[in-house]
Order: sequence, then C-alpha cells, then structure tokens
Amino acid sequence: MEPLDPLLAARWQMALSLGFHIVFACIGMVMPFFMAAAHRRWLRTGEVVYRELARRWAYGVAIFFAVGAVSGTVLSFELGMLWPRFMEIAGPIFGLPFALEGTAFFLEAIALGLYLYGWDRLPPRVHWAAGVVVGIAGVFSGIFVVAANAWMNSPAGFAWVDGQATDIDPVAAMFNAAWPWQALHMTLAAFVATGFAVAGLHAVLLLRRPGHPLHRAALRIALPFAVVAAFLQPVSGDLSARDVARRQPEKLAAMEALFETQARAPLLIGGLPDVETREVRYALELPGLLSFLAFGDVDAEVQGLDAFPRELWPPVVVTHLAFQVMIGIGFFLMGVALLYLWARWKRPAWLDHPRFLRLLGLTMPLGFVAVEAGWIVTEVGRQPWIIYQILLTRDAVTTMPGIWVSLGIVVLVYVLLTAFLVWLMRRQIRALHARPVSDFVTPPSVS
Amino acid sequence: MTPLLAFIVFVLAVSLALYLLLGGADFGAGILEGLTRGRDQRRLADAIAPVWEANHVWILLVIVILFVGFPSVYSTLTHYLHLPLLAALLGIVFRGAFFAFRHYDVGVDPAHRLYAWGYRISSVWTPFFLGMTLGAAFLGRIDTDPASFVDGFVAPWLNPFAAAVGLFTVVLCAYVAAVFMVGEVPARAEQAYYARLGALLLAAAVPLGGLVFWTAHLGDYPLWTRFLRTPAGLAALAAATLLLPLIALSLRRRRVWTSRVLVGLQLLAILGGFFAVEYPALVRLRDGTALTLLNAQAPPAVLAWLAAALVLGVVVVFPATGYLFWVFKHGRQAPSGDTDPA
Repeated sequence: MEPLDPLLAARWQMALSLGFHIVFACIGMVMPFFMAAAHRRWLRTGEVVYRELARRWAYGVAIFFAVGAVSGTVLSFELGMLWPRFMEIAGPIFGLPFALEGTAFFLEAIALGLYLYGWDRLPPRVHWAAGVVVGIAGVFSGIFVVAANAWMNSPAGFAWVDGQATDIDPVAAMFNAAWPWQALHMTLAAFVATGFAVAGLHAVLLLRRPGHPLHRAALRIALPFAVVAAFLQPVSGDLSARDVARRQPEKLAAMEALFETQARAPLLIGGLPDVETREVRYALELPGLLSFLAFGDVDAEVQGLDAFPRELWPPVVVTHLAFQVMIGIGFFLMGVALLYLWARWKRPAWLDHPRFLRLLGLTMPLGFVAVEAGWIVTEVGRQPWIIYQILLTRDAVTTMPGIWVSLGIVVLVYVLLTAFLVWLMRRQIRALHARPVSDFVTPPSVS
Repeated sequence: MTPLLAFIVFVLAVSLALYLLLGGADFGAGILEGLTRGRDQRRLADAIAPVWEANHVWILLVIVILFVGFPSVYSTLTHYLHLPLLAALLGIVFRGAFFAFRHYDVGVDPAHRLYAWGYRISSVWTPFFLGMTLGAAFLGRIDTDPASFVDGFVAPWLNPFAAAVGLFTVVLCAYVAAVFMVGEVPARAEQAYYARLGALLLAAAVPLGGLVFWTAHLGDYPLWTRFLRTPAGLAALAAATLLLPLIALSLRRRRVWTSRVLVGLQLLAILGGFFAVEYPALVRLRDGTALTLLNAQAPPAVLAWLAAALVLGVVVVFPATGYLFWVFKHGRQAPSGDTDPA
C-alpha cells in the first residue's frame, strides 16, 4: 500500500518544496540589488547599456519573484498539511516572524509593481529607490523566515510542561540564539549563489557573443557583489559552526563525522563515514583543527556521536557529505574571488579571457548547490527532532496515508516548472541576441 | 470577547474579505478570459498586472493569523482537508507561473496558447477548491478520529454542499471581475458587453446561492435556519437581495464606481452574513463540537504580539498600496515603458 515510509515521503516533499522555493527566494532578494545597481549607473552615466540591463534583469526578477511567491504560498499550507502536530505547537510560538514576513513580502510586491511599471510614470530617483526597496524588503523577508527555522534549532520563548507549551513569549522565540548566525549565513549565501549564477550565466553568453556590451556590463555589476560575499561567507560560516558546537553538539559531530568524543579533535576533509564500524574512510585529517575551530583551542574536547544515544543521532553520512560539499564549494568560490581580485589588479586582460569566462560558467550552478547542501546540513543535521529536544519529527507527521502520491505530484510539478523556466530564459536570451549590438551602445550625439 | 481578540478577528475578517474581492477579481479575470475565449486578453491582464502578485498576501495573512492565533483551527483544516488544499495549491502554482510566463515571455507564438489555457483553467480550478475547503470547514463532516481514509480525508469535502460552495465561489469571482472590467474598457460597446456579462453572472449566482442552501439542507446542515434565526443573517440576506435590482440598474446605466461599490457591499453581506450566523465557529466537527474563535484562541501574549505585528503591517502596507494605486491612476502617462523601445 505504502511504497515509501510516510515519514520519509513527508520529509522528501518538504525538502523538495523548500529546496525549490529557496532558489527563487535567494534570486528574488539579491537580483533587485543588481538591477538597482545597473539602474544607478544608467542614471549616472547615461550609458544605455545599463538601462537595458536593468530592464532585462527586471524581467528576470519578475518571473523569479512570481514563482517564489507561489512556491512560498505553497509552503505556508504544506507546513500544516504535512506537520499538523508541529504547527499546532509551534504556530503561536514562532508565528511572529511569519507575520512580519508577510509585511516585508507585501512591501516587496508593491515596490516591484512600482519598479516594473514605473519607467515612464515615476521621477527617476523615486523609480530607482523603488528598485532598492524591492531588494531590502526581500532581504528582510528572508531574515524573518530564517528566524522561524532558527527557532526549530534553538527553541526559546516557552516552557514545555507535559507535552504542552506554556508561558509563550513570541519575542523571545524570535530572538532565539541561532537566529543571528543563521540569518547572516543565509543572507550572504544568497548573495554568493545569485552573484555567481548571474555572473556565470553572462560569462557563458559572453563566450557565445564575444564582447557583447550587455554581458560585459552584467559581469561588471554582478561579480563585485559575488566576490565580496564570497570573502565574508567563510567568516560567517565559522561563527555559525561555533554556535552549533555549543548548542547542537550532535549536529556538529555529524557534520564532522566525529564518532568519538576527543580532545584535539581533527578536522576532516572529505571522507565517507561508515556508521556501523564508526569509521571514516578516505578522509584527510587535520589534527586539533576541529577543536580549534569549535572552541578556539586545539586541545579542547569536542563531543562525538558516542556522547549521544544512538537513536538521537542525525543521519551521519548525509549530513557529513552535504557539509563537505558546502565547504568545498565555499572555498572554491573564494578562490575564484581571489583570482578575480588579483587579475583585476595585475592582469586585467585575464578577465576577458575565455578560460576565465569558462571558470565563471562553472560557478553558475555551484553557489546554489552549496545553498542546498547547507540546508541539508541544518535540516538533516537536526533530525530526529523537528523542534530540537522538544518534538520528534516522527511524532509531528501527518497521519494521512498516501503522502507518497502527493510527493509524486509535487515532484512532477516542480520538474515541469523548472523545465519551463529554463526554456523561458533561453527564449529571453535568444531574443536579446537577435537585436543588433548597436542597441546597447550610447550614440555619441545623445550622451 | 476581549478587545485584543476582537482586533485580530477584525483583521482576519478584513483579509478574508479583501481576498474574496481583490483575489476574486484576480481569479475572475482569468475565468472571464476563458468564458470569452480570449476577448480582451490584453486588457484583462493589464487590469490586474500591477497588483496581481500582491493579492497572495491576503490569503497568506489569513493563514498566518490562523496558525498563530488559532493553531488548532489551522492544523485541523490543513490536516483533514489536505486533498482539496493540495488541489488549490497546484492551481495557485500553475496560475501564478503561467501568468508570469505569459506576461514576461518574449514574442507571441504557439507557446502562448498553452500559457493562456493553463492560466484560464487554473483560474477556475483554484477558487473552486478554495470554496470547497471553506464549505467543508463548516459542514460538520470533519472527524478527528476517522475509521478509514475515506471517512477522514475524503468524505469531509467530497460532497454536494462543498461542491456547491466551490461553484458559487467561482461564479462570484467571475461576477466581480466582469463588473470591475466595465470601468477598464474605453468604448461604450465594450462597457455594455461587460455590464451584460456581469448581469448574466449575477443571474447565475442567485440559483447557485439557492443550491448552496439546498445542498446544506440535504447534508443536515441547518444553514438556512441559522440565517433566518439570527438578526445578522436576516440582515445579510435582505441586503444581498435588495442589492440585486440596484446592481442590475447600475450596470445597465454603466455607473462604474456605483456598480463596484454595490457589488463589494453585496459580497461583504454574503461573506459577513455567513460568518455572522456561524459565529463564533470556525470549524464544525462531526461529533457536534466546533473549534471557535473563543476555544481555539492562542494565549493573550501571543495575540498581543500578533496584533502588534499586524498594526505594523497596516502602517507600512497601506500607504505603500495607496501610493501604488495613485501612481497608476495619476502618474505621468508616457508611452508604456513596459515594452522595448526597439
């Protein structure tokens, strides 16, 4: 009757819906800044290429915002459809940021409406400001939603008595211990991922249409955002990891596949954990580094999985591998950022070289792979809890049979939508390339 | 009822009403496109384009108020009405996606037929299932200890009453949109066309309203009696009925704003009357009990902060919305910047 364990089906459906939404949420909060930056350059320099770029990107923002809005609406229902018991407990406690998020979302929608339809209706500076407000409201929106997720990792603002939440304090719940670190890490991740995705896309297009002014302008705007965020991200990652080490030691142990509690705990690079034998194969060990990163002291003792009952271990293999993927990509992107800065300083010609453009093309999907991997770390790493140390995921799941069917439908819908979006973007690009390059160059008499 | 709870209920009611009116006009624009096979497709889309994404906020607000302020109502509805909600969600996703694709896609070619029909079908589908969900919440078939899958997750909503509410909702959406469109088309002949369409849809809505009461009666749900026995119910019925000839007249004379206001009042009477006769119930269960505004409410501290967040939202959102509308009514009208200069 049930080809897939109902709990697993519900978790997959949730993961898929979130994993889909997060891509659009990131692009929806970061692209407006690129769009506004291009717009500002147009206002300042009068070069038409920047106006064209702002318009092209605005179309992208509109499509991604629309899909983000509907996939976010889906999530607000799915939380209850898949996890009714969780929402009955958590709703009143962590609902405040959702209520605030509603405001931010609405403001974003209004500002986007003003921006998209304001080209000939608004004074230039007001029009530009509307574009900036889209981005700011989007970032706030993201930060509020992360507050709710952080609460699941570090529940606060209530007393737990006999399976009931009492003395609820929604403000304390919102300002939970994990929020600042998660919000910072997520916001930067959105900038890294979107920055490299946009730069990567235009780099690939530049390979096909060498010297196209629009794509060159796009790189000039998107890359600096990506580069700055890529340098800041490891710092915020370090802060996050220290926070996890203190609050959720079993999550850190799973991330690092640390089976035994030990002083001078090593940092593992790569490796495939074997939960049965409690060993990690093929890993590069850096002794003491984990202790240092977690507690600032190479001799500090780090709790391993053996400090926790077996049934409360997070899935070690998935958490560890996802963590490795995220870190690996993070450092790779930081390397690309370093190369960019160095080339800009010493070898500007390299920035137009096909090899550099191909490298950027490679980064196009990588940032988002890292974002997804990071979410896997934080969500799978919290298992078996849905609310850390309060409620088990298996006690929160819906009792409705046949969730695998709705999972199937959701998979189908999201695959279709993704295919459509890719096809749509290709059409946009083809239409763009069909126009003569002179459309993007300011005629001398006008400027 | 404490003033705090009253405020939250007020915002909940306003959000629901705005979703019915604005979201309804939004869905209705898609339904009309289907009914008229694409006549005025461009105008219908343009009429809603600047604000259409924003309409999601009303349903989101309803959802958030429910899960923060009345958690058991939210979890009971989403749990036992999983299937019609899933259907409505699929509709929301496809509708939003197809509308955006069509609007921001380049050129016009066969792909646009697909977007158009995807958009139109989901514009009927989504309000139908949302209406069904609303009907199912009050019919009293939700069983919190179901004997089988069908008893628990199908029977509560797959019944004549919920279907009648769904149909009624769809027709109301189309009706609101048609009346709205009278003021959005320039030519007299066009205005007359939408005025006639609005009157026709109104004529279709009346027997469907009767069908809602009749199917309720068949399902042992004393909706009609409740309307007749409460002053608010009687007043709502009287208002909705008395408005019928006024609206017909106003449409015939193509009085744009009079028609819009009267139709708004009529819909508010229907929605408000329904919730008033059911007050304070939000969900009726099979065992005869109900989850109500009073017994499902969250603790006062939660409601207080929810109210604070809602006030903040109102302070931020209303001026911004007002500005948006003002810009589109009075802003400098140059050749549309939405299209390429090329």
